[in-house]
Amino acid sequence: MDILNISNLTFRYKNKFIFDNFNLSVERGSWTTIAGPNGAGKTTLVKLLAGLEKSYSNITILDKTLNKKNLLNIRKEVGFVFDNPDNFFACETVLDELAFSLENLGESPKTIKKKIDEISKLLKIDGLLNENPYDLSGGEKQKVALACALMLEPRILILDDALLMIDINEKKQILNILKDYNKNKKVTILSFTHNLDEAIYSDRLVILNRGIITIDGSFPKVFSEEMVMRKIGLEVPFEIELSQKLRVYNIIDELELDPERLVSLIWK
Amino acid sequence: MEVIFKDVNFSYNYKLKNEKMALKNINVKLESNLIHGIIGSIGSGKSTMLELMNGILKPNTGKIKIGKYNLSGKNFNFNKYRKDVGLVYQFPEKYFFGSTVGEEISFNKKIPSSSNIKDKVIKALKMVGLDQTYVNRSPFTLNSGEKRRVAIASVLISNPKLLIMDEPTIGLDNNSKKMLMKLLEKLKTKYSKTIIIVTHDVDMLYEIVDNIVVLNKGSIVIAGDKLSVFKNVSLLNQNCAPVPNVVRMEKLIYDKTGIDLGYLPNMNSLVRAIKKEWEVMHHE
Repeated sequence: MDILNISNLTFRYKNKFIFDNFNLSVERGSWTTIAGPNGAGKTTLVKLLAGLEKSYSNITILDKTLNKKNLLNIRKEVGFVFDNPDNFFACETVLDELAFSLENLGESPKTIKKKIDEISKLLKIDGLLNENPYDLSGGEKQKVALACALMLEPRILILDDALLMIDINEKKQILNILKDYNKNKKVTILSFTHNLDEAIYSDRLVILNRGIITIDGSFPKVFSEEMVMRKIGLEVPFEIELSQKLRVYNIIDELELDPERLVSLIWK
Repeated sequence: MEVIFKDVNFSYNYKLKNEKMALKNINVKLESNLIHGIIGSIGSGKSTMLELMNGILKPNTGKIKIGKYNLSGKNFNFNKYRKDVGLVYQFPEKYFFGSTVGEEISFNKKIPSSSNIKDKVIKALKMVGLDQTYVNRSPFTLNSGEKRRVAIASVLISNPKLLIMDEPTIGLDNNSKKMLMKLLEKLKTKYSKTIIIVTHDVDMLYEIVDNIVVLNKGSIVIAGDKLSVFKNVSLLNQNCAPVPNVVRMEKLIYDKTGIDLGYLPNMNSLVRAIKKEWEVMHHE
């Protein structure tokens, strides 16, 4: 069953068409990664889904058509995390920031406190609760922005390069946390990125280039189209690129993501 | 332009309750005409170091000297300093406001009425690999890679000797990133700039950088030329610092097979080295 559906989307900035008759549907409970180079239309699509740009087409989210009347109801169930959290914070401490949305919805202080405890520990920002969000480093800001989105227990989580400033070791932990949300709490995740390292965690990978879906499928299927990927300038995970290059010399036969297994394949 | 930190300490809540040191006892010398990288995990003090070099923050104790400027001194002339040192912030294109690229780049030289300024704009564009057809275009219609280069050109127009960059490759796709890396190398070799890059993107850094400073929890873990720094993979891991993929793979191969592939500057050299070893193995 589809949780999100875009049909016949056409959108342009002045004379420049970003999407012309674009279609996409996302299955309930799935994790879909939409990847593409700069200028592919990723951010425009996120803005359209957030209702920040107006389209004249049919976008359905959670069985409701995205229009002025339904927008607020849809936004209650869809969490957005954007790439640059600097434009996002409204409060003086991280604690207030996390409480902000639930307070506005009239939640009881006890519930809010419990929720903050749980999520801040999960994302390891419990030490930052009394800091001013603007004093944090880029990666910390992004973690707080993600925590704010999770506070509302969204049914869909839309991430627009949301882990960009988080360094690699921590990124893995966060992706695992998100995987847990996806599998156990049935949160549908739609993530937009140009870094395919993150795509390993998703069920489906959609490659977008100039407003058109170039490849759509599971992780291995997409990476087998390596020429297309390289041509449109996408950053392929290191191990995949290495195995692609070694395969050219017949040193290995298949693409391997795990570094240890890759070494064993070469020196077998 | 040479950058010297001598016994620098800095805290955002200096002499207040719960004082937390952002930088502790920093002693480092970054030499002229080289590309320097500053790396470390989240909250290690990278951005604080950058703000100190930018002159926006002052050290609590210790001295910072950049070229002829004493940043911690009382007579520090910020306006003059700004002309010699260019700062490229994270996502610099978010601060665009000019209606044309020409206006954007020439802002700190006033509106490009005189041909002299227009020449300078074109020269700055050329330095970042864009031609003069861009002068009258709106900066908002460019793609991210082009926007980033325009932002760098707007810093280069005042001909700074030192460029300080915060995450210059963030948000760029692979092709734009490669173009930017070539540009930075050109700025060093052809235009003799000193470049300091604060970044998470160690794979990019590893290909172009000369020296590395590794920070953790406000202190310098190790500093020096990239080879000597990245040789210490376990030290970097212990201090939560990122390790370039090529180096990580090379270490893994050494640990598993005992084969030392030697210095490999990038992915292609790694592939060649593996191929060579593999052929030796299958020849025997």
